[in-house]
Amino acid sequence: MKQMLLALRELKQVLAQVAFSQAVLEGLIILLSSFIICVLINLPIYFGFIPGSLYFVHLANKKFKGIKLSKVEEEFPDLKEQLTTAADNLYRKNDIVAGLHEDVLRLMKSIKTSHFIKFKTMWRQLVAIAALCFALILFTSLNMQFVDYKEIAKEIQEFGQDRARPDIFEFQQAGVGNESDIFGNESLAELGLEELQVQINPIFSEINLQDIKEAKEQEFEEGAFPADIEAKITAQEGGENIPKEHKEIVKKYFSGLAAEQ
Amino acid sequence: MASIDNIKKTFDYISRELDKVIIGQDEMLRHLMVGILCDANILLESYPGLAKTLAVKTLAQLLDLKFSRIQNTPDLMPADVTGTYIIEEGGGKRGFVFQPGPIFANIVLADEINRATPKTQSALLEAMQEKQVTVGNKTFELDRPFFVLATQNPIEQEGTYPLPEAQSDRFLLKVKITYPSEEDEIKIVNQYAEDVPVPELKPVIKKASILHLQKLTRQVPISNDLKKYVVDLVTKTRKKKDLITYGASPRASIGMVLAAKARALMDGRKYVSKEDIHTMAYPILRHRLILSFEAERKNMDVDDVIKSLM
Repeated sequence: MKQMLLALRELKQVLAQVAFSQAVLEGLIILLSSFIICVLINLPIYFGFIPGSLYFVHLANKKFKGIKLSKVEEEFPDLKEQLTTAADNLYRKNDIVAGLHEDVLRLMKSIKTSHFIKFKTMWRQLVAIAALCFALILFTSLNMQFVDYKEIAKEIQEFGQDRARPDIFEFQQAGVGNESDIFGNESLAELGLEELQVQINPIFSEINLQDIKEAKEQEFEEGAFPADIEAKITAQEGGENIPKEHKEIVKKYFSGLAAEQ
Repeated sequence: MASIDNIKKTFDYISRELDKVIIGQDEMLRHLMVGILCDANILLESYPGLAKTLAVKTLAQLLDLKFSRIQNTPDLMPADVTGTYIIEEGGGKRGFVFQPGPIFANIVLADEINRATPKTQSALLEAMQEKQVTVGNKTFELDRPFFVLATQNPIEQEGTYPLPEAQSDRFLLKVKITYPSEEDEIKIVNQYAEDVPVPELKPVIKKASILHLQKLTRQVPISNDLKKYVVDLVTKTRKKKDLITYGASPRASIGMVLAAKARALMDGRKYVSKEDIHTMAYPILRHRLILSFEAERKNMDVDDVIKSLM
């Protein structure tokens, strides 16, 4: 009975190891897929751990619950119905049960771990993992994005809101008149209202942020710098001939901007 | 202890010896052996002339067991079955001495049990259940192993007292005997209509070995899944109201597991297989189900209904 107990324990351990490995491989595929999705929608990459880990836990639980001796009997027809019967009657003591345990132990010697591993499936999973790793590195290096999650979130937030924006025409209607010559192109004023998105690509940048050195003390030779240029130019010499009334308008305009702020 | 292989060889030898005398009734003979191993009783349903008496008599010979036959008739009294007290005179003294009836044997063939009155049937059934007989105020234990083979004729039901369901439930198996095939019937004719001596059979095993085999039968292990399968099957008979009016009791579950174990032992296996359950389900459940009108309307017999449950 003791030998049978040890053999069954070992068999269950092997089955558990195989189930765990299968769960790890499948979990990795989901994890890498989640990372890729996070990269493509500009989400922080650590969000990918959530679906990956949840799926791994669920799959591991399912596989461990699915560890049954009947599955071993399906792989080994010689053991059909004998293994389950021997396991269910482990603690019974009689000659027939002892004989059954002996027979099952003899047949179990032919069981190898490789019988439970589906090599074709495992091979496909490994290829999938390699492909996903490659895709992840590629998408990250190219800074590829299909959708910006933050933009969508922002637009959803702003949806339906009435946002007051400073209108250049309001100042014009205040009695200034159409002075586009003075103020320049409208689009220049509008530029100040947009948020500027700047991203530094770490791979294609020439700057190496890791290269930090101490500042070197250098002595500069005389004449390295150009001589100071002193310029004294009056408004008349500069060719500017701005009438006094226009100066007042400009002054008013900037005062108005300052007051608004 | 005899190994399982030796047990299988013994049963194979018994089968071969039986085949010398009984032709074309292998299934019946196997069921008889199952009944003996389970220490239970069997109900045989067959037309006359199908070697029921010969089979049981031959089996008793091979197993070295005492055989007796009770021909049930409407005027048969319980005392005719169990025995009675008679006055005996000896040494100048008279006294009551118990004269045991035909039930005091190891294998009892109760022919046409449905022809006996309910009172006589109950005397036999009490002996079957309790393995003892009460006459007057004294109880007599029956010799072990004790095995009753009761027969019923499916035709000529006039003037009979069919066994109530509660009583037929006490039989482990209900075996249906069919007519032999043409080839087998020719062999029967050749053996019994010609000047061919009937082979004399010698006992194969002793009474004590049979008792030991009965004990071994209960030791054959069965998996929990199969036990659950048996219980589910019997439970289904109670739930399938469209085809079955009254289903089987837990006695059927016990019987099915025991019968499957006996079959496994006879086949030389140390475990019960699903095939054993499927094979024994029919004789176990046949007499325990009362079919509904819907089943009759669909032209389904008991075996068809049992098949649909599996």
